Amino acid sequence: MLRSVYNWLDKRLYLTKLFRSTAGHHVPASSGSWFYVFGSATLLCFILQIITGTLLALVYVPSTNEAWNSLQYLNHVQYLGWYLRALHNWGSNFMVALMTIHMVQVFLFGAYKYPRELTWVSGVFLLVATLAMAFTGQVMRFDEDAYWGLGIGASITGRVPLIGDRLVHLLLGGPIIAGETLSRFFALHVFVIPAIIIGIVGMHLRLVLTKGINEYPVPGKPVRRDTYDGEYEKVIEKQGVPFVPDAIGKDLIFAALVLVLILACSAIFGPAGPSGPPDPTRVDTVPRPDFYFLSVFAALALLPDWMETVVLFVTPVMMVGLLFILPFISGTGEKSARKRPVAVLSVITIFLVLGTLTYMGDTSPWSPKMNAWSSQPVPVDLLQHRTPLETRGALVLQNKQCRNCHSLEGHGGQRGPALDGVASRLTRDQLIRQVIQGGGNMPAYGKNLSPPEVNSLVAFMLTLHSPSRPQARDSAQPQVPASKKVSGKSQ
Amino acid sequence: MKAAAFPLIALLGLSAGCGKPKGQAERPQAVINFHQLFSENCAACHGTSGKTGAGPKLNDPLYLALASREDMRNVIENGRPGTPMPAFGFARGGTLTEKQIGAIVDGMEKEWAKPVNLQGATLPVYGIAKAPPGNARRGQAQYMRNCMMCHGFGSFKGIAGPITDPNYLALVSNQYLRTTAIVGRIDWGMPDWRHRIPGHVMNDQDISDVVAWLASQRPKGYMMAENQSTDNSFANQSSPDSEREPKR
Ligand code: HEC
Ligand code: HEC
Ligand code: HEC
Repeated sequence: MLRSVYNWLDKRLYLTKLFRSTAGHHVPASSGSWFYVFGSATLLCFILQIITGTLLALVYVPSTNEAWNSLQYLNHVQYLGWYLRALHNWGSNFMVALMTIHMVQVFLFGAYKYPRELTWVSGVFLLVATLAMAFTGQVMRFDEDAYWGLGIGASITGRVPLIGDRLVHLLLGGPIIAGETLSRFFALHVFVIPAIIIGIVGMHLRLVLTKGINEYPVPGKPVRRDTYDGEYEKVIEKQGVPFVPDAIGKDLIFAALVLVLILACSAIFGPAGPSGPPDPTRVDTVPRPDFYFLSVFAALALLPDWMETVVLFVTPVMMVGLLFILPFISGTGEKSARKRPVAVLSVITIFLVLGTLTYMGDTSPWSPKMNAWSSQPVPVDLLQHRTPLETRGALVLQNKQCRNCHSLEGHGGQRGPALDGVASRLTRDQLIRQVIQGGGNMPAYGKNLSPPEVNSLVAFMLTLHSPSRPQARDSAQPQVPASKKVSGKSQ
Repeated sequence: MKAAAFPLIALLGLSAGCGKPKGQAERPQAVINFHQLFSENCAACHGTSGKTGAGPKLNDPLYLALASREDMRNVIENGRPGTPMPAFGFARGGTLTEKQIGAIVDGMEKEWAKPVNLQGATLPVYGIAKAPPGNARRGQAQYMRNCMMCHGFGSFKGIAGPITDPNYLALVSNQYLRTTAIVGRIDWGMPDWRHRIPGHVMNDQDISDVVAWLASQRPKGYMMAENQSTDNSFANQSSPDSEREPKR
């Protein structure tokens, strides 16, 4: 009876054929190795992300006012809501990590070589898409860290020559981070990028099926375009085993292990954030990007200014570009890592560099000095003979935590230029523009400063010039700005 | 076996990575030392030892005699919305516990308070809610008499800069205007309420009036938020035409 139902279905759905050509297809017995388990584990993470992500989306409200509250609701009210968030967070951490290991393994085993170039290329697309998911996901928290990451991301984008401003507009849905920004990132995180990933994963898997799994590399057996296909067929014929049930065993064991680790990490360490409520003008917790972006931020902080732009745009484009063309420049030849010292060395170098940068990003005080705003006094001599408005400006400067990035007389953060003497460099209008629109790595304060706050800040900053160097002036407007007159006595 | 070691090591690495919690090990909430608390949280605005800062002088026996512990506790906990004074209480998104705020207030009283010789004058009331209601019209006359020579009026610029600048008034609370009108800014050269004009001491009513006038000079829409807040020391005494439009 069951059999006839199955046969009926099979006649229409070709189940047996489907099984034979997918799960049951033959793979080289040598690929049933512990090294070959990372791809499937990454896929497992992705599926877990889809499930937990869908559940989260049931509660999450993608609006600037509600996002943070809905996460608090999940964390504290919803039964096991915190665990769901933790799973999604740790799932993403594991996915990025496993994907990286998978890629390194594929690289070291020469699996990207002929005829599997496209498998590799689709994999690089997946890498980029997954990192994009990680970044947009971090924004979903819409807490201080997210705001921070986004602000810096936007100002990096803003530096793209010629079209920078328009790109920022596209990214943020406006010139500054606002409600539109979150909607935009929500759409990307929930619809656009996942759809792309699912599509590419399909292609990636199909390629794995049609082009076969790389046999365990043997030193001294280089790939040659004319003979490889025949050799591979022979390998499959002689020592091929069906993927299910023979080769899948280790994948399953590893998948179970990963699952247990994700469950455990989530239970033990809980979800990430949300950190403080998203008051965009307050940056007083320690905003740090999630670990996969730490290295980028560290590089950003450590480089001298003139190099930043170059390094920021050229390096990533070059790295990804290099990954894309890799199978085309070294499509044949030795596969075994033992015979490819350059490949091994480059992997080691890349990881050392990334590791060091991540470590520095995590430990060194590259990031703004987070308590400067409340602990570094405004130097007394900068307050002498000031009008009450200018003094208030100094207080707004402290309160808006400009000091976390800017120093006065050597005290304060070093992220931005020291503000001593700004008035000799910038005019009143330029100061206003800098505060409202940001620029470089400075967040745009925009509507988050009221007009009196901006005016008082600028009034105070206009007093910051050395006696020997007069205040910068707009050449079209030779008049000394009004606010300057009252403090003229300071010289 | 060798092959099996690789994923295991990778996994170990992964799980070690996931063991790295965010944030530091030390517990900032455990600090209750007054000096440390003050220099980490308040010195930036109120000055290294509570004076010659951009913000109110707190290291001032006169101020400490004027404001009660409860008044100060209230400000530290809730901040002054609309001014640069942030809220430090946990409930208001700050970083200090009730105990720490208590330690700061106790520290200020213990280290900086001294008996003050009022030389026969009476100390005016601190809180705006308890002070006599002010009259802006009379306040202008009081301003001309007691403040103009230093703070200027119209085209006359005093030595201390205008306090009627709308941008300044938009960022300062009525309470602080009152506090300053009473205790002055001795660290920056503004005398207290007894010593501005020889032989003339402003009384409670004069002070309320001058504050009412200053408040009436404030651009509309500012400093309304805290007038409605639970902090009743802000109970409205400013001009009647003030719109109750909360400031963002
Ligand atoms: C996240 C750190 C950060 C914060 C917070 C920050 N800035 Fe900046 N700021 C920078 C950086 C970085 C630059 C340099 C921008 C560039 O490269 O063009 C800068 C530049 C400036 C400049 C121009 C200085 C010059 O010499 O060209 C001014 C003025 C300024 N900031 C004022 C402020 C004020 C006022 C605030 C507070 C409202 C503030 N900044 C907050 C990072 C910051
Ligand atoms: C970012 C600057 C800033 C920091 C940091 C700050 N204050 Fe203030 N504080 C102010 C300003 C500005 C005012 C006046 C506000 C107003 O206009 O009412 C003020 C007012 C006060 C007052 C009330 C003065 C009055 O009118 O009676 C007290 C008390 C006070 N602060 C205590 C503290 C303590 C204690 C700390 C540290 C825990 C602290 N402040 C940190 C800026 C600051
Ligand atoms: C003897 C001169 C003098 C007189 C009279 C005087 N002030 Fe002042 N005032 C100063 C000085 C000096 C400062 C501090 C310097 C500054 O901020 O410009 C100051 C500052 C202030 C401030 C700003 C304090 C701050 O921290 O933001 C206010 C408010 C103020 N005065 C109110 C008044 C009022 C109200 C009167 C009249 C009842 C008055 N002052 C009379 C000299 C004076």
